[in-house]
Amino acid sequence: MPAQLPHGSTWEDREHAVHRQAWQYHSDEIALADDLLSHLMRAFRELETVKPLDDAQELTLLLVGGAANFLRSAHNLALDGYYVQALSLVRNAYEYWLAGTWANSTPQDAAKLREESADWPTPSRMKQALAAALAHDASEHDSAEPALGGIYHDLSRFTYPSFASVSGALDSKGTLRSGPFYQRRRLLAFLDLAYETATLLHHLLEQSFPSLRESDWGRRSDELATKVAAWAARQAAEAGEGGSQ
Amino acid sequence: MFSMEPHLTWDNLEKEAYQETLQEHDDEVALADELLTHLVEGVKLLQGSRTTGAAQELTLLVVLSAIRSLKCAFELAFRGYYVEALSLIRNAYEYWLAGAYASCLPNEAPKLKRKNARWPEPSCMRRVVSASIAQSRQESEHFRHGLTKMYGYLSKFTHPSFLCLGAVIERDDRQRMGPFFDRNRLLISLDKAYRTVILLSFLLAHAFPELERSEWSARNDEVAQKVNAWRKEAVPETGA
Repeated sequence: MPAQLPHGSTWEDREHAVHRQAWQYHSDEIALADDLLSHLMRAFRELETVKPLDDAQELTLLLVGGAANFLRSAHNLALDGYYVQALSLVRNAYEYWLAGTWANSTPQDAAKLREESADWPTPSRMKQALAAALAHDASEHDSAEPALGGIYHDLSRFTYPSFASVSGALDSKGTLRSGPFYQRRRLLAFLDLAYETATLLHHLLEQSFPSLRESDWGRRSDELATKVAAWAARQAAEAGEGGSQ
Repeated sequence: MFSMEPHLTWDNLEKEAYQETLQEHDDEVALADELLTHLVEGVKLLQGSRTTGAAQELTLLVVLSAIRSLKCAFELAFRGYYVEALSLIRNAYEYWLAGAYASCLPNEAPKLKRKNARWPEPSCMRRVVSASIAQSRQESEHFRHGLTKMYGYLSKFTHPSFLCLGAVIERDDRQRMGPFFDRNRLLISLDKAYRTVILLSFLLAHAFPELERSEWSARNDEVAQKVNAWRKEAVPETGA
């Protein structure tokens, strides 16, 4: 397995080349990701005048702020061809959403979670508790927990050493590549999970701040969610066509 | 209390943080570049040579994966994304641990390269690696303690925690979305990243005898000394 290493071009040259390819083939999709991120930032501006905040709202803002930073970082890295690293950071954002949703379902614990000595629940405990809170009956509970865990499990493969994470250094022919290179499949996988996480964060903000739901911001959230759903449907249709050929 | 000035965009905030980093820490930015270049040079020296087994192949894969994670981590830290950088440094550190584990137990390497392989837990890898490096039980415990401490510290940035949430709050106690320059957090991030580069350099030299005999390997010691000297001068105490 000889390594295919750079000849003449710098690491930055290749990042720029991947960046250009990403924009060339996915300009609409990248613009949608930008819109979803800018929309999170706009929520902070909208909420600037909302006072006082209760403990759960304060914690929600901290978590959404942190999650947005993870998503933006991931977005920058994915456009430069660092898909495994980007997907790993989306996992962090998703976990922040999970923590925020959990904190909203147990507002009495929110103040404690901001203390330095706070013992945060593990993701699996949060998923279990949320599934129980969201489900109306046992059959719904059975489907809610795997749904919450599914994305997390997919993303976790890129956080720990695994075939999925180290294969980011292999191209489609199995050749070892030292620097970044454009991979359509991985960029789409990133966009899919980033869109979904951003949309979940929008919902979390609306749950925690009902005034947002009734504002222009809330209407824009709906528009963006519709765009994301249409994109996902197109991807599913393309995948179906590919599979039937 | 939180704020979000209307003129602030992600791009502007990143540029501001990057400019402050360059203004105040250009030496550290240059050192990061030097360290990554050194590591890439080591991999380049292997170009054309045949790997002699699954352990070497796996080492190359994890080192290249770690280099990517560290490259991303440096770029993020320079732009004020410290929690995000530290999270990726943990990934790089874990790649190093997996490579060191494969070096210690080369018979395990073919299994780990399989598509659905379940890789050992980090605690198991730490135990194997420290026992293999150490010459006594006491030394092994000492190494394992050090490895666990570094991993534990980095893990605080991988899951929601007090330390992570603090990064969304500026010095004046305002909460703010988006990156901003923070000297202490930058130095802590760079410290962990530099140390991980050093670990990877020694792993590479150990896994490939042709490198261990080269000038590149001799440069490993120089690079490590440079990082240690910098640490004594610049790094705030984190306990890890």
